[in-house]
Amino acid sequence: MSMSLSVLKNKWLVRGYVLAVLLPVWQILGQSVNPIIFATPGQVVRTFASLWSDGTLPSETLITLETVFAGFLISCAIGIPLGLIMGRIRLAEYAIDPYVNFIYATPLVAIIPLALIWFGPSNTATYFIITLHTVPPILINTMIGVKNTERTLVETGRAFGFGGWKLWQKVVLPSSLPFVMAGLRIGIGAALIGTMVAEIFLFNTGLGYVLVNETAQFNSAAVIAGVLIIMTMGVVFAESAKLVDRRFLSWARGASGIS
Amino acid sequence: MEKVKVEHVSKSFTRSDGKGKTAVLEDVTFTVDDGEIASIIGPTGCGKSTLLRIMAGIAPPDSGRITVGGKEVVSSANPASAIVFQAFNLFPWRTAQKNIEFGLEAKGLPPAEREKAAQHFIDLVGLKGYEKYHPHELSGGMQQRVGLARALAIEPEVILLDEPFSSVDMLTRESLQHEVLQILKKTKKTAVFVTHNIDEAIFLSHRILSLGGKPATIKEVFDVDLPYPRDDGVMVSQKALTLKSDLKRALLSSPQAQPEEAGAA
Repeated sequence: MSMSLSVLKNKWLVRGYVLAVLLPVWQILGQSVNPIIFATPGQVVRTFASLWSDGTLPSETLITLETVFAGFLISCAIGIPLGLIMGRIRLAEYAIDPYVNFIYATPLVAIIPLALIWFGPSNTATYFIITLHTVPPILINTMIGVKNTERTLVETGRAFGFGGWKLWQKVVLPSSLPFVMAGLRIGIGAALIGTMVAEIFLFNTGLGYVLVNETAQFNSAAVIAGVLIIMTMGVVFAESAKLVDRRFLSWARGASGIS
Repeated sequence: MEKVKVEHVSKSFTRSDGKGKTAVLEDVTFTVDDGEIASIIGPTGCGKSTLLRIMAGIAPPDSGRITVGGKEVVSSANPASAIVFQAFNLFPWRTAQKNIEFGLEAKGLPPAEREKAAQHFIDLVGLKGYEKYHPHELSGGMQQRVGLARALAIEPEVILLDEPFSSVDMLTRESLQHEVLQILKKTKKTAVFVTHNIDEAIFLSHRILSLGGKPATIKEVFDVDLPYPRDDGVMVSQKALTLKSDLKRALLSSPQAQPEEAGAA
């Protein structure tokens, strides 16, 4: 009894046990229904290996990754400066803030028809969709970061002789950094979502193309293989962001409890 | 030789409802000599901190003028004074050392000189070995040492201390008071403390100015005619006890001040 309890305290062991139960269940379930509809783990692994070795998956994954990162960088280039300005100048916040909220509240797929009319199935349309979804979280968090800068620290910076842009650089920017980072963490996830939506519904390239193409051929094993890569991307992005946080922003956890 | 001159300083704040103004300070005038340690004592919310902020150049007075080291204080650019804050106000993203270097960066010192100066003050306040720690990794007492070193590092004409010991526990407070006093004596710094603690004011100061009234002004000035170091024996001498009761009387005779307006504390 005591032994089984202590085993349950190890989270990786628990996770291993759950997986050890899930995989056979999936295998049995897959075998009992039409494999065209629901591929078994074995079929997925075989399909994955063949699509990987013939170069399809690596090249399409690369296209998707490039799109995610390019879209993310464009969104940073728009969202961070705009967020800083809106955090600093109330007039800018009042003027822009409602529209950002409107855009962020709109389900992304609802924009697809407009993107098609305006840009056609193209890279432009893809980046339009990605930035529309990725800029708001980055912008909003940056703005909140600036607005949350402690007045006493700004005053301290001033008391020790800083003013104007220098005061910003030395006090406001570093103080907002944990919020900006939180925005980037959400932003990279948003960029992945935007990329997938665009690749599947707008301009078939990358892993989105793989999903659409293999679905048309009822190749559920290949579709699952594609989804697994996308899942892995999402997890890797989130974990990398956590790592960056832990490495560079440890002071923020101790100082103000931002997680 | 006068180091600090505060002449006819008045200050009022717009009330939070936007209707009218509340006068906080009125015609405050006093001087502090070179190397002197003065304390401004008064009830909480009487405007002591506001006065200190005006002296530091962070808040402009409505009227009157402040001179530090012969130069009029018009802003906090190139400050002639340095503040030690009640809540430390350290920059949480900077290490102890980088916090201490902060004011030197504003002065435009090259990194090597900043580091050398910072190291000197780290040793002086007893933070050797803690250079790379962030504020949240330090105790309150140690954080305030960083605050003190940061202020001393810019070699100010006068050091302004805004209730510097009220955010640390009692035992730390006593040892910190001793050390700060020693450091001020050693560096021959002119210092102005703001406090509401009578014992603390007596322990530290050459002179105590009581601030009171609404709006507040300097009510009385007490010379602390006691030898340093102010050990337990000195602090319970007849002279000290008489001074203590005089100060208590001065503080109590001041009408209970209203809390300061937001932004004034």
